[in-house]
Amino acid sequence: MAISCPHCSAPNADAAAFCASCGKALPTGLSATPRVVGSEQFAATDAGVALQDQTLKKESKKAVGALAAVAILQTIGAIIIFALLQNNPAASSQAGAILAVMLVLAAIFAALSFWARSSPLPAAIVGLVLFVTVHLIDAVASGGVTLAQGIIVKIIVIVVLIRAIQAGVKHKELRTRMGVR
Amino acid sequence: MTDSPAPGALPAQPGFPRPAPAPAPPSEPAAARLPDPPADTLADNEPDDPWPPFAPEPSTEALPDEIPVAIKVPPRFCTQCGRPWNPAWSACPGCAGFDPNPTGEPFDALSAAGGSHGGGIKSSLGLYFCLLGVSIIGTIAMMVDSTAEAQIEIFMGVLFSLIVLFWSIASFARLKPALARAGSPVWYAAAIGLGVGTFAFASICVGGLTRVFNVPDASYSEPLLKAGFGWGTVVLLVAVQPAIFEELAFRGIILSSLQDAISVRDAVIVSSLMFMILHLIPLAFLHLLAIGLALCFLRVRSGSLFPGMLMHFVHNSLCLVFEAAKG
Repeated sequence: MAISCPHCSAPNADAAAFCASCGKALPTGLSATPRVVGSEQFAATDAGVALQDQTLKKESKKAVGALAAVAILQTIGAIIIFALLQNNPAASSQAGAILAVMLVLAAIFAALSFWARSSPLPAAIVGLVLFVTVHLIDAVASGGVTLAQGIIVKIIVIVVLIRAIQAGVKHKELRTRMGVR
Repeated sequence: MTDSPAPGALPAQPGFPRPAPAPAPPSEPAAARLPDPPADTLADNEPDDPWPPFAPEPSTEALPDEIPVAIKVPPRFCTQCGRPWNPAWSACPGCAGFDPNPTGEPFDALSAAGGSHGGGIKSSLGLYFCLLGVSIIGTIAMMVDSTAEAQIEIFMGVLFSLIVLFWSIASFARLKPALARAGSPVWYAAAIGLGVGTFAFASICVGGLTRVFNVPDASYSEPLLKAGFGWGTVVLLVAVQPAIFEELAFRGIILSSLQDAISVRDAVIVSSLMFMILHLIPLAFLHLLAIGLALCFLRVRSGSLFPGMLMHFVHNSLCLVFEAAKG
């Protein structure tokens, strides 16, 4: 059942103490006295904004962390592969070029991690696309040899990046709910 | 929402208990109650009032019970503490999380904005990885039989087109607005200008990079002509097919699906990066990114896919014209 507001005649839920439309007190016969809210206690305060910020940062940090982890793994992988190739006389001539490419990739993921601080969702999408594309092409170009190398790490990275996208989606949905542009 | 209140949070307020169904008659004199919240102060303290002025419906007595009140009118004030209400909230931060609307369904800004964002991302990533699959198949085929380069190129072009075609039919609702509009002639002139401009930029990039890294310049037409195909096939495969189907895929489906989830600016950047990465030519990444951004610009500004198709066609045709001129 709805009560209509005596001030603006808007419909209100039964248990409402204040009109949802004009904010004036409703005749509900409450023993508890409704409070008159002063301007210093308005809801959209700095404190409210700070709370929203904290919640959003929690989600974006997940994407930032995931992309930073990929950057670190990529750097470690570059060093390991460089060391392995240098000991292999057949491939040592390519070692420098491969190291350079892998370090560039690590730098790109570091940059994506930085971008994720403000826009976690787009950064995580680009991260997943880049990682999967590079490693698939690498696997094909090597005739399937590199596909099995570190396959567990690769799968974990893909799962982590998908999680980063999910965190980004949640971040975006929270922003929509909070009305943050 | 959060575990600990931020420094400087609102003073802890003893939220008054949820009112029990009122036994007292509502005809209590208004003077016995607290004075109304000062409506003027409320208005003065909210300079950017996001709510339009409320126009009450004249017939409220006959409101049926089954229609939740809150769905008809998003609340403007908390019904428990009277503070101004943000429609984006699901609970009032001012009075310890009271539902402003205990009987109706809470007003949800997310569902009002079109629901969850996950679907658009899945659809754009799905199409991207399908198209990546085409490239992978092509690369494998090329490794198996490098003499059949022309046939593989044609096969990949057809497969790419078919995937995009089926995807476009399945999500036609998404493409319809951009296909129904032609856009102003200004955008077609801009498309020709941008096509020539990006071609000049691409020539400089490719010329410089192939010299620096000492790699042979790739030719689009040579493998096809060598295999005995005519210029008609070359134009169809290099200029017409990408202009139509890459535009449908990247500026049509992927860009608009991404826009479900992220801002237009971010969607433009992400789809341009996808366009760049999918070409799988690191030396071409710089000018491909520029082309992707220019095509997104045309798509977003003109609201139509056709100027982008024209620009893509102009760019790719110029590549062929210069290859033909070189011999």
